[in-house]
Amino acid sequence: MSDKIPFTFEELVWKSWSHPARLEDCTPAQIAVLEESDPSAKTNEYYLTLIRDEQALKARSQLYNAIMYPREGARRADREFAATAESRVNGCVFCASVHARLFVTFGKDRPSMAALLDEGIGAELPPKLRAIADFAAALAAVPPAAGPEHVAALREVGYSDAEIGDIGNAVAMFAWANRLMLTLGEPERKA
Amino acid sequence: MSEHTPDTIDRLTGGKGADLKAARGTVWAGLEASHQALFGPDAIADITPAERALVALAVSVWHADEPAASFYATAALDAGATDTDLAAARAAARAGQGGAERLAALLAHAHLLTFAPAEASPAALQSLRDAGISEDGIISASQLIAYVAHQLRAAHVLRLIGA
Repeated sequence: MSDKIPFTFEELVWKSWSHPARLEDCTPAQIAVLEESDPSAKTNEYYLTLIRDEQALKARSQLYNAIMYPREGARRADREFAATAESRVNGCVFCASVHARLFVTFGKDRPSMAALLDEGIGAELPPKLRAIADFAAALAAVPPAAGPEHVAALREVGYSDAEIGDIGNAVAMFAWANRLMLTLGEPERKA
Repeated sequence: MSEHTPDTIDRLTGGKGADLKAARGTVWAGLEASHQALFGPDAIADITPAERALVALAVSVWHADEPAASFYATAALDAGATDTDLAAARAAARAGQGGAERLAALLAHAHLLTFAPAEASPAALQSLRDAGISEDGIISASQLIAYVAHQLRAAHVLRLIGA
């Protein structure tokens, strides 16, 4: 195993501990699921590992796309921040790296994301991101500890209940994603 | 499915957050599709229906989600799990161990994914293989455990905002 990589914006690669499918062995239906899952999926060990349960990956990708890429609701940057905060709490360096970069692309606030990556949930953050980080950390806990105080804090900084629901779904999605990324393989630095 | 047909998450929340759900139909359809893929009749056979429900029961107990625990306990009995299996899953939820070899390995893996996924290693997957679980089964069980982590948080948010 490689040395533990710290939280980073760096582009990493994910290596499977299982046996990823070979693309040439995939059925046309499996290839269609890969194509719906991610533009990189046909060469990405994560998706080639998950394709072993084709139905589960197909449904998960349908859900992921509905939560992370909708036209309505909470801003993409807010979903990406929530995803990264959940990943920071769970220790998922790979997920955090991907979604930290996406947050910077959509949210244009690299210093706040750098603080989250370096210092964790307790980092100093502007009010909206503070409210998202606290909600995400509480919802990430086992058992989940998000309460009326977190909802009140999000409403206070201007989020509607529908947007709070969107942010909550992004956190839930990464409760799922982190657990796969962390337990079926590990990140490596690009060669 | 019609918007008015209760789906699985409604059974965990008593239908709370109906307005939130109605505004995001594709999200909740995707969650239900995930549930059916992992718990429905066409879920891959490498992990049995009873094993699926028992693992979800333990994850629900760890999340202190009593409606979900009750839901999955019923599902386990419906899938032919014995009282001994049910007791093992509940004991595992308390102690992190128990049951016959396959079930014990699955429950130990569920405990790792629930509480300390960042401490996982290739050895954890090997212990599943050593218990006789196929590679496809390992992937399906991992999806199932991680899905329940999502499902219970989605239910938590619906109960919280929909209260």
